[in-house]
Amino acid sequence: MIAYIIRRLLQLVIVLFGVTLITFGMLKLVPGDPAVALAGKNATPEKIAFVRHERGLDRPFYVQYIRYVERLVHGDLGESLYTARPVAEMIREAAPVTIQLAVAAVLIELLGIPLGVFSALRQYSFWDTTLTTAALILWGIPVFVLGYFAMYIFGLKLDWLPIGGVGPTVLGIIPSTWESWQTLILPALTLGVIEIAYISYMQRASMLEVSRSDFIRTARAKGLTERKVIWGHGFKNAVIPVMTIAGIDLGALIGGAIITETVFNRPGIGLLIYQGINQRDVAVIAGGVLFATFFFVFANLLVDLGYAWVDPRVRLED
Amino acid sequence: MKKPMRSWRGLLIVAAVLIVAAMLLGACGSDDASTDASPTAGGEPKAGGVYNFPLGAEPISIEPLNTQESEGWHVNHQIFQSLYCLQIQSDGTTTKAVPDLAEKTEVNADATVFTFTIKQGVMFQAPVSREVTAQDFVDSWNYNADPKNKSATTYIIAPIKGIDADTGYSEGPQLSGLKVIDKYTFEVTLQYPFADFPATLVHPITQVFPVDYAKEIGRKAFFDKPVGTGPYMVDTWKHNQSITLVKNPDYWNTGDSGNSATAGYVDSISMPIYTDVSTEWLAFQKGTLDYSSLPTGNFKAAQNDPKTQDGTWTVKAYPSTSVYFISVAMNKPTLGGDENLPIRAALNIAADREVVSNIVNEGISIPSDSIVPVTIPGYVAGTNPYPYDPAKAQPKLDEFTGTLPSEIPYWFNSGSGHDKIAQALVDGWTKAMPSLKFKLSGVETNSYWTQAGENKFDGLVRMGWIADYPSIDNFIYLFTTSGGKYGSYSFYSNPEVDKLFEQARATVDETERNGLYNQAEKLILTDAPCVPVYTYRDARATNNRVAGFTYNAFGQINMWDLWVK
Repeated sequence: MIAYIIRRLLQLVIVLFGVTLITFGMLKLVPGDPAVALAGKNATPEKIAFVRHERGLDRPFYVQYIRYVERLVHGDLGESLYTARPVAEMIREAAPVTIQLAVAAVLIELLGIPLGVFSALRQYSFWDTTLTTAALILWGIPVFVLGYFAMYIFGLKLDWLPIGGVGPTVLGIIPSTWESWQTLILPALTLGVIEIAYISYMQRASMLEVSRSDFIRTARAKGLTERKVIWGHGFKNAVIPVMTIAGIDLGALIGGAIITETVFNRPGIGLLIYQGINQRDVAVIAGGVLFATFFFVFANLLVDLGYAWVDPRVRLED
Repeated sequence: MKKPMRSWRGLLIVAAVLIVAAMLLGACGSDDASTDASPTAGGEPKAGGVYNFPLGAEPISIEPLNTQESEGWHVNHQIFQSLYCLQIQSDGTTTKAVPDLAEKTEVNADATVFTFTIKQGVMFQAPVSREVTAQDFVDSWNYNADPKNKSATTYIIAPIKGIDADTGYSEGPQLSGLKVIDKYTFEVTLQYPFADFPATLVHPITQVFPVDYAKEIGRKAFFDKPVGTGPYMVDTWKHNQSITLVKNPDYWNTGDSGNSATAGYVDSISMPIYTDVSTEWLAFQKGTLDYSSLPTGNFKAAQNDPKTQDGTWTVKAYPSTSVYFISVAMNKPTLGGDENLPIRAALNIAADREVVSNIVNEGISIPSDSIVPVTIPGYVAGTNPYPYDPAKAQPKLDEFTGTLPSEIPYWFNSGSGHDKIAQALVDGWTKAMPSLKFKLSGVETNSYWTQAGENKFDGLVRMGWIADYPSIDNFIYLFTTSGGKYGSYSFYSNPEVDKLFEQARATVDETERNGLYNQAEKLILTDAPCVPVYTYRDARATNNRVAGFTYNAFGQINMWDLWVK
């Protein structure tokens, strides 16, 4: 087990460096020079060159990257090109907002599991068709469309919930007031509802596959009640791959938060990356992506470790 | 043995999720902010209450050193003051620079030396709480010009002697052009004549702040909570969430000191950050905000909204100091040079600015064939020798004796609707002159400006210009030899224009000076290195629970004038 953890942690380090390299590389390949914006209006080529030199933007790609990595090793994520604020501080401020949203959205998306089971148990029935169609429709709606629609209906027309913003918390992510919970409901639902559709679809497929397995037939042949066959044998096996998807989704939701946070005016990592991209603020983009990657990889590592602990086959395979 | 282990799997995964969250949060601290502020109840005009004003993005900076974009300006304007400020004139459109903290301004005959006497009794906000002196102005400007402090707006103070022309920063530790005469007087020597220099002193980089205090508390602390002399002071800045300003209880102008801000009415100004304008507009409609920009396509609907009709809201387009024009790459073969003048003139004659403004822009912009916005002192209508008359476009084009270009490239930065404007103009041109063909190319914004500055584009190049200070100089500069390279990206050069521009800068008398700028403008427009299209207007909605709202051409709102009804 320890060797497995060490191996996975080493992989994590490699992934993180790979991500920084790709991020730097992509930003270097995209045309556009941040020095032009930094130099201000009416800037002469001399002034642009001066600014480029001052900010180290004129150094070769590999030099800039190596310097970044050197600082990264010491825990320094650099500073924003525009505001000169430390990126680590910006991440620290933004991370709880995103984690709160991602965790809430994952918890909501887990509702897709009972819906998927319900659908599978009534295959080709009216409810199955309705739920499957609804899932496909929801899955196809862009998150910003759903977000605006939700704000318009529940925020403006019904006046039930606030439009955008964040509220006070305890332990960083748990809303501490009713108003704070209210700010979380719409963005979490928007992000989570689309995933409910996905999860229920997956759960339905998984449940149907398991229900045709030999061990289910055996269980029935042994005379077990249908309830025990479905919940004691079928569901427990069918839910595992879906829970894995949910675990991976937690990381993926960090990426999805870019749009949700912009639409719902939530100052999280997604919004930070979005603003960084608009300004070509390399350190901010790299810091944000690094955080998202770390979160994604580490969450999956913990899920895998959980498996390895409860299921010896996983340990053997790895 | 297996059964209980299996039942743990689901729980393990949920636990994993929560553990990751908890681990990360251990280092992240807690978040106790709310960006939602409820509107204060109405009532009789009185001091007190909260004004809810959204910012469209996290400001780059709110301190004089680096305030540059509109979000930063909105905040900075309530906190800091300079020698001059902006004032809307009686025509309701023109915005002019008028003395603020300057008690007296003297200038020498060739407009190279200015002597400013500042008002007495101007006080810095707490915790500094001391009187502002001439030395404070000199210290502030020296600090901002210091390359170590990396200001992006030193181009405003570039005329001052001691600024390095190449780097745009101070050549030495002190600007050689600044000299303190006495406690309230200082002298500024410029590198070249510039009679409109006082107009530049409305810009944040020229505001006064306590440099000693900024150094004492450090860059980061002063960045977050800067101290100025204005009627409002920073209470909190929760990055990417909101900024809250509170009334300065010890504000120095208790009476009516000239044009300077008076003490504010509202107790505080809540400035939540709304990065998405559609969300901001929804929040305004809900009543969370007292002010909103309008998303593209919503202006007419907002004007016709029942709440606008019954006077709950005011929805209006306010003229700005920005112009939209199409530069012509004058040093390129397609349209540059004297031989192509008939084509350039014909493009001006057939540019359907009304369609662009009234249809594409919902009537928000003001069609204009001038390179100077209508809001700038010295603007004269009807300067363009090629006014709109599509019937005359083809005869003008027929004066061209060469071979017409197979297609005229038209470059614009993608997004923001420039493609629609380009298409509307091209439709008008091809209707009036069917022999002309155009190729529209959108380029990603960052890349677009880099390439434009590097003279990569041939043909027509989409441009816009926002005034930094209320002077026609801002716009004529664009078509001087220097401005052609670094401002309009037209790479236009006309020695006569340069000469008139320099003469105007050295002319102290305002009427005479603006006359010279107007002559230069006429020469420029005759050479047609651009196709002016319109002056921007800013579409805004305001909630009438708050009174006293004004919006000048620079988009500034004097929030100290507002009160909750």
